[in-house]
Amino acid sequence: MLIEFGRAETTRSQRFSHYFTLLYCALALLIGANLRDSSLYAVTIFTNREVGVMAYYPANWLFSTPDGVVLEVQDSQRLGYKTTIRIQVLPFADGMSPRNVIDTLALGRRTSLPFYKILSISDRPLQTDDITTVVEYTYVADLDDPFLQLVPSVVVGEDVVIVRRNQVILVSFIADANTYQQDYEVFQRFLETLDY
Amino acid sequence: MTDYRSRLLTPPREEEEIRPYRSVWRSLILENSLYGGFTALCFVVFGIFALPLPQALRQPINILIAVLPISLWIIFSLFAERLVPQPRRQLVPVFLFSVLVARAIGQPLVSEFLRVQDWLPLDSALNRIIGYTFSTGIIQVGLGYIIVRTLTWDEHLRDRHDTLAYAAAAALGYGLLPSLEFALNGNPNPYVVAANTFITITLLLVSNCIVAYGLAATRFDASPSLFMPFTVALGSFITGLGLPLYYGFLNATFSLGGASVQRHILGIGFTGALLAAGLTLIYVLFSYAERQARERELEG
Repeated sequence: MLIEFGRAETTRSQRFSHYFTLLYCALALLIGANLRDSSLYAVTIFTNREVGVMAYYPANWLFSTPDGVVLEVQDSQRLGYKTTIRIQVLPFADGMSPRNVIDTLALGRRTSLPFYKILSISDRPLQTDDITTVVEYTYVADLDDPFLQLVPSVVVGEDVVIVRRNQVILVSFIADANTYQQDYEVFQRFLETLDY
Repeated sequence: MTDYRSRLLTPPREEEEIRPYRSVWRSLILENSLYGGFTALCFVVFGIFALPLPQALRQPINILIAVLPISLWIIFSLFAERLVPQPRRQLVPVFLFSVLVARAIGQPLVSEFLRVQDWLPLDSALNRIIGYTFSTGIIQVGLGYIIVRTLTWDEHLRDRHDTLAYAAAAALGYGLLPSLEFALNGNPNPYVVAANTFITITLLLVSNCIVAYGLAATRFDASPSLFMPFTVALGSFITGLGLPLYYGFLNATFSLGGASVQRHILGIGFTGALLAAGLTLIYVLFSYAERQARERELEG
């Protein structure tokens, strides 16, 4: 017996089942994007009333407060140089300009950071309309461990100098040159939520 | 009532159906059993006995291992189609389209839009299952469904098993480039390539075959409109469950004194079990649906 099937018309139920499937796929993809956002962009709040700074840093980054630093967070999952965001508060006397702060920092870093070079200095407005001075620089970072078999990393940093009364809030972002662009959006989000 | 006046000792044989189409189950089981066996052989030869392989030979062998499922499919499915009166003409277009769609849409969606590699591998087990279901799972299964539905509906779906044949072609097409990329990236050990290709193809095959069941039910059984999306959801859930479980087995602390070699026993074992359980379940579902269809025919 030879079985032959004739061509049947697509019924309404079959058409709807196709539409529902496409709709489900689109909805599921949206849920996936939402899960990605809630995981990738999850943040933890940081508040320091003494200095008057509030910020939201990435939830899975390593938090620390070394001497002289208000906040330091590092992406511990990064191989090689750990992408870092740091907030420091420096004195700012009358008659000083942001350029004085930058030059002082450059002189200090030139002796402590190998191949330190300033790439650019520019003014940039924040979301709060405050005009900040932004310094982009580079240096070679080498972990101080003779047993670690790693090639030193070229890192790129950005300092955002925010003048506030008699203080300067220095927000720094430092990342491996290879991952700098990729991680920079994290820093942008950090700056957008920074309250001082 | 039984008629004992018959001169026959055994009941008369039922007239055997001459189906003009290739049997999908035979080739599906043969191809996957062969590749599963080959993976186990690779593990024994290159993993346990650590057969030294010249560096220059490693990459060509890895490429051959990654394309072996396609070769088996060409031999046991595609060539076999030529021997039957009514071959499935859309197998090659479905396969080629799956390769292109995986490269052009699927992989960029997973790695660049959803960026699963950045947030899922280190998440908790439950989050990984949910995350992979709604990212890798839904993209793979959804695209597989769209390809098969677009290229075959409805004149090429003449028999219930056509959906299975096309789903298998879509799974192999989708899995080809990721398997090849893994084989070419970092010059891994051949048994690692075989295990990776095995899990990639198995997950795609099982989840696509579940979608094929939904497609067959929609096409031949007038199932409710929501049944098709349900099977797509189930297929993506199987991918979402399978991926973290497989990598969980690979990263398990189980050790018999070696490093990564013993962990692959669990990975390959899990893949084999998933393949056997998945195909058995789909076989039962298809058989049940066929029997019901026959009963409906007899009643009607």
